[in-house]
Amino acid sequence: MNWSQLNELLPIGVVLTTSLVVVFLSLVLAPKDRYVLSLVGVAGCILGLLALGKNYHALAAEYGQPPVFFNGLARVAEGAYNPVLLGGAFVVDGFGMSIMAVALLAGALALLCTTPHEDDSALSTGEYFGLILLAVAGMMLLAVAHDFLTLLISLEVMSVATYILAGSARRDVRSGESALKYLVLGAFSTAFLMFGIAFLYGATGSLAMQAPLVAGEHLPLVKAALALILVGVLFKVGAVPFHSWVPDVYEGAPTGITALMAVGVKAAAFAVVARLCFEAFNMVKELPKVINGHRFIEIVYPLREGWLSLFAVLAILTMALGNLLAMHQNNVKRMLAYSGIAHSGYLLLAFLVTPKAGGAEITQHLQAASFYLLAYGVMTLGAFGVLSLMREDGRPMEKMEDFTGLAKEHPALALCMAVFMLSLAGMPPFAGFFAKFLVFKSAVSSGYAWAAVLGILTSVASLYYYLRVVVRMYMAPAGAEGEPAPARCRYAWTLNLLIYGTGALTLLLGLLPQWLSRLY
Amino acid sequence: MLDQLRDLFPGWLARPDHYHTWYEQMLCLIPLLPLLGFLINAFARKTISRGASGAVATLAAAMAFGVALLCYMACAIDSQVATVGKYAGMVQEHLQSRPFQPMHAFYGTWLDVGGFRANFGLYMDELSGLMTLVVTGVGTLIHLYSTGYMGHDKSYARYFAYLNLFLFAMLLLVLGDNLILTFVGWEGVGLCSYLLIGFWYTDGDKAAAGMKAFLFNRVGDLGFLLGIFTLIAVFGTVDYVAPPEAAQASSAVMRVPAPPAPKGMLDYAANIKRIDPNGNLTLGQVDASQKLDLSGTVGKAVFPSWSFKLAIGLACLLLFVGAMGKSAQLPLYAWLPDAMAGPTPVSALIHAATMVTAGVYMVARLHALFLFSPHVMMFVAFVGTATAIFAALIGLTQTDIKKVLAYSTVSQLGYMFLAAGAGAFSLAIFHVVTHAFFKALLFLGAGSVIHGMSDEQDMRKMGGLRKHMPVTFVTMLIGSLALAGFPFTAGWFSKDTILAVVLAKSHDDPSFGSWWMALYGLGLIAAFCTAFYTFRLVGMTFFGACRADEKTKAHIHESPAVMTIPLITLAAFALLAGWMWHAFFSAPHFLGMPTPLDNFNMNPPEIGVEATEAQEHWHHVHLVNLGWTSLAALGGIALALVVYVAKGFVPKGEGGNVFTTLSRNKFYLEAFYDKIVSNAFILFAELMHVADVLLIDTLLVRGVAVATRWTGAALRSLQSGLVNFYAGGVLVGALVILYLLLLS
Amino acid sequence: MSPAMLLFWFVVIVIVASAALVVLSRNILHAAFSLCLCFTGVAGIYLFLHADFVAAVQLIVYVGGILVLVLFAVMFSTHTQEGSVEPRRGRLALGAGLLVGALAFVSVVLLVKNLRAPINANDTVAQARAEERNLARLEKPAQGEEPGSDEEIAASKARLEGLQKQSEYRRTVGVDPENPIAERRVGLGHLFMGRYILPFEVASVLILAALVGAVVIVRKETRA
Repeated sequence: MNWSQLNELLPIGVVLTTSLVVVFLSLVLAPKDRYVLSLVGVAGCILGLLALGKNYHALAAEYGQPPVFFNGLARVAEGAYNPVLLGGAFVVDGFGMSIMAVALLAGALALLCTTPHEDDSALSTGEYFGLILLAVAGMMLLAVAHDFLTLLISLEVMSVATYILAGSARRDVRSGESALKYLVLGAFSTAFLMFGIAFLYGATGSLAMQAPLVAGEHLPLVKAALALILVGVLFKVGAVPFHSWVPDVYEGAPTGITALMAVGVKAAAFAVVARLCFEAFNMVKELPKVINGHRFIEIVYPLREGWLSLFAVLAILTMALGNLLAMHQNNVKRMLAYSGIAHSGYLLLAFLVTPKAGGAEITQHLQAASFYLLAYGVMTLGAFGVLSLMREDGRPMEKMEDFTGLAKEHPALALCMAVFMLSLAGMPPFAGFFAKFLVFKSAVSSGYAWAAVLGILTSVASLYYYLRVVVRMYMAPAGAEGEPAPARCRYAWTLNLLIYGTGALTLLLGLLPQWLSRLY
Repeated sequence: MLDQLRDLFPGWLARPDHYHTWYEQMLCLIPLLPLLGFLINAFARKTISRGASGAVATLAAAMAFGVALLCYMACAIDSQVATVGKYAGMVQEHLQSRPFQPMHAFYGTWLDVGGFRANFGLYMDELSGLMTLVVTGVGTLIHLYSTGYMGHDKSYARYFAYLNLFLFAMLLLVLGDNLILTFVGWEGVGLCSYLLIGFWYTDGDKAAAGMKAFLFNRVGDLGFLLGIFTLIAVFGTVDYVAPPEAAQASSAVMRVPAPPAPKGMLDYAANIKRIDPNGNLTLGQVDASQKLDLSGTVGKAVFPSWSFKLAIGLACLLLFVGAMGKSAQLPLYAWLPDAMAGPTPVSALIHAATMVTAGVYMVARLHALFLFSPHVMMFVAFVGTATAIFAALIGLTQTDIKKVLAYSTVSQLGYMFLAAGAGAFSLAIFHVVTHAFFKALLFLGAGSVIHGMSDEQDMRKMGGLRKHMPVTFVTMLIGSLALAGFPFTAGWFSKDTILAVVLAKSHDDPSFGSWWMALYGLGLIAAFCTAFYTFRLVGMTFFGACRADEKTKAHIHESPAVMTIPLITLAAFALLAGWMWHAFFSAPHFLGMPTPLDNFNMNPPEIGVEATEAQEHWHHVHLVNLGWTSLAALGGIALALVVYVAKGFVPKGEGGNVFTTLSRNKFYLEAFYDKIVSNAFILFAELMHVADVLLIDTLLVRGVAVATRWTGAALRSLQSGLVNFYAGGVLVGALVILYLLLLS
Repeated sequence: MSPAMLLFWFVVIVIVASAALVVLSRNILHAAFSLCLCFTGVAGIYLFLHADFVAAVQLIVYVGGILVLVLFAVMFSTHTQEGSVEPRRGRLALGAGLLVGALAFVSVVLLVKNLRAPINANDTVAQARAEERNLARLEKPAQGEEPGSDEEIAASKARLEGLQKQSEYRRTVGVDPENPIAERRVGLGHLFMGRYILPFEVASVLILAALVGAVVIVRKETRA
């Protein structure tokens, strides 16, 4: 075993170490200085991003063109750089790295979202920040997990941390309810996942991502195993019919944690969906290809036909239900929860490939998916960031009415929020437009034009509820003349900075998506 | 760092090793100048004075116009002639003989993912060049006018910021070299229109009108987006023409006299000479490398058994739906009259001269594709005519001066689509241009009236204004004559020729002949109505006794010079722009598009050459049409003058016969939208919610509660019940997925 | 029925009955004790599967650790004596739940029924070797035996190729062809310290997360 492979885990190691540092630092810090902890946590996230960048360059140097995805069963010749590491426990590729970056971003926002909440002491303890970082570490590991044991354990690290975080606003009854629901249903879904993994091991004797390859006569059992694993993962994604927990849990959790769940958990879970779809659902045919000294394996897809139609149906249901239910919400947080469901549906569209799609096509689809995740992550994080600033007397202001006339008091914040909303609705020239464009385009090019049409239809309809927020902010005056406007936003420069940053990124990703797609 | 920047913006920093001129690099300035104006007004509005913000905005528009003019002339004359001094003398010469050389500036790749690429590129050919000139020219005048009109408004800088942003988006729409860039501009102008309609957002109705415009447009955008995807599926590209070859290699701006290889959509379309019934293509230049390969993955996957023609037809139909939304055609027209809630100069610029004609521009831009599907063209003509007559009938009874003009705009847009549907795309654009002049003039005149009347918009409370506002009266009279189609005004040239083409079509088109005759008849009636309501407006506003209250009466005054100068300028164009007719009509392919003559497979008549039989026929048709249209226009004008000037009739706004009631109530179509359609949408969302509640809350929880009571046990807590049923849902879903995968 | 089988069915009945008691009992203390019985029974099942190490872990961790913790928690909390934790479910829900549960159960049984034998990783390698021998025999028969026909040789070659590929795949996915099944504990240790070192280490992160989470849950709320 080559221990230098652990280098690839450096970003995760950085985050883990930071979580410990934060926990121990809280012992020596005076309660009023606790905001330092969140800054230390953010520093850890930034360090993690830097480490990620370093690894990325190593990968790029090795391969010239950095590989998006180690499609199927990338095996490499002796002595060459091996992307599948530690005996297959994890794989470091461009896709996994982009998910890692999204998780780090989500973690940074979740850490910062709590700074304006010092009035709730449970939300500013070292343990709380430490748990956020542990959850992020779990997500990052999940993004690169390449065997089912690693997948399961890292999923649990992520889940256990988020269960507790969801319930950490202890003064808020809804928070406890949210945590309990999430825990019960999450444990239920993990049971499916474990059941599936057990089936898979029973049928193949392997826990590797490519285990179905040796299914042989046990193919039905392997199919069942993959279906059960898929259920466990789709639950985390919030796809219909496993969506029912999303609104309740998102609404109840502290806003920063909601952002972490809506972006980080979803991104990590989608990484697993990608690896399942493009790796576990495949089977090997031949071995002989050699490119640049790296040996690759051709793949055949006996399982594709099945999951393609399944995914198309799930995507449609998820988009339709999420968007239609979001229209009805008067609570912005709950509306964003439903919109998160809808976006999961759009993302599922990216996984519709032609039954015979090869590496190049899969790469395109994954680029669409990871661009979507990044764009969705950036704008959703920003929206939740603005939402978490909306507090009055320690009471969160999450209703549509609470946004009335925000543009007058906080023009910059309102502008950012408007950008996030328009981008979420898929308006050009923001990131959301290109994200949706790519996803729809990839669905169309794989022959799922009808799914794309429905997607466009629902996305057009979605403007209705996103625009309600914008209208509230810009179109209605704040209070009567002469009355002092309510001080509903607590200013926190770190969080504000992050919100402006995500706002700029939302615009930038729309204007220069090429810049991003150069990265991986 | 510099290398990376150069990679990102190859067009900016690359050192071109071939000949190019400085004004080609300036192409990007046309949209960027208004953007700069927007940025200044948006972010420095607290620091600069009111006068400065108006000046910045107007200057940005004027400079954009100047640059556009330079670039246009640079295309029009030979590029080797680099001295500006020589331009003036050569413009005339160009119009007659020299082919227009399109300019294609390439600034880098926007997106290159998954075998699909979109560029940052601006493309100026005759069509987009002319549109650019109109947009910036009329835009500049309206900016100037606004400095006077909005003089008393609190949010002066915000207004100009939006106006400049609109110009930027509109210019992007017009100049973009691919459909995606056009779409970005398309959405951008929609957003600005929405912002400007709801500009006085303290007024709930006005904010609602903005919302309505945005949502109606989104319905159209749905069609537009689907159309784009269809075109991508067919062509694999959204470029209109191939990006400059050298731009791909050395990434520099260059001139493209003729695209070397057909790569853009229009290049493909231009190279397709024949399509056989099976949908197979015969290409103009037989070359394996240029063949449009529909057997490739994309087209085949989406349209497995479709012919090329059918796919293109679908794309055109979808794109036209987008145009219907933006250009306010039936049944998506209802937002435009409501959009009059915005400031009047905005109505003039966005909802009369430029944005609403974007749909016509798009159809003209892609005319090569529309020509493939006669049925879609017919549909375009039908929708256009229906809109023209429908809106004209409504216009007859409106009493709000801006509403009359709004319905008139809808009606005129209908004429443009009628022209496009008849295959006379250049005529459609000609009407866009003339309409931009006279309708902007009429709106600005109306604004001047409203300004003078202390914000009164009801014509029943006006009258006799010609004495108080002479300049406004004269200019508006000119605009009205043009709109009514009075001979030798701009509107006469364009509208008359459109109808002549339709009449000719009815003789010429074997498959749809009688249909065209019907359309011609309806078009004539609409022309009559147009003349009538136009002079009804003039009569009620400027003649007779003043019906305003004393307080308003005392305030009536002519507008300041910043407002009358644009009026006079536009009036001059409204009178004279029609004489461009010659250029539009007789050049072999003006604007790079077929002229009416192309519909009849004839060459333009040349001086000194005996006219052919077809030309004689066309001449005859034109003369017959001339009689009819003149009759309609003069009849309408005369009737209106008799009723509203001589007799001084003032409508009461209620009662009347069946027709006036119908017309006044817009044939109840808008009420239908408000009551039924928008409610149905909300109702559907409600229904989903109810279903959700019913399924989970009522059916399960309540059902269980009832069942529980039935067994005599205590009520369970609601919450734990929900979690159980969520889990039940998960289990059922899991089983379904399991079996779906197992049985596949 | 052999004594072993009798014992097996006894264990099964104990597990099912105690599990049912856990769910149905109205007294939470009873439920906890039933759970103890259930866990012990599961350890018995592990023994039947020759997984003695896992059985021991089951006893130590679940019965010895977790259940004791559960019992402590139950006894410390105040409302134990009232017993009734949750009222009975409605018939409709019970019926629907039973139906879906039964469906799930039947599905699993049907799926696992076809599982012929627990995967024997030696199979492919052993089969490949047997096929090799067979091929050798067909091509160069020993004295007194008939050489194989051409078809037989071709079929054998194809089989051999397939088997070799299978073992190649197995190596690819990490099924060790030479896995010494007999030495389970040693093998387990090797796996944890070898191929599965990452998940093994990450498990400690999981425990850390749980620990920190426990602190978050139980700590007294203090005003900053």
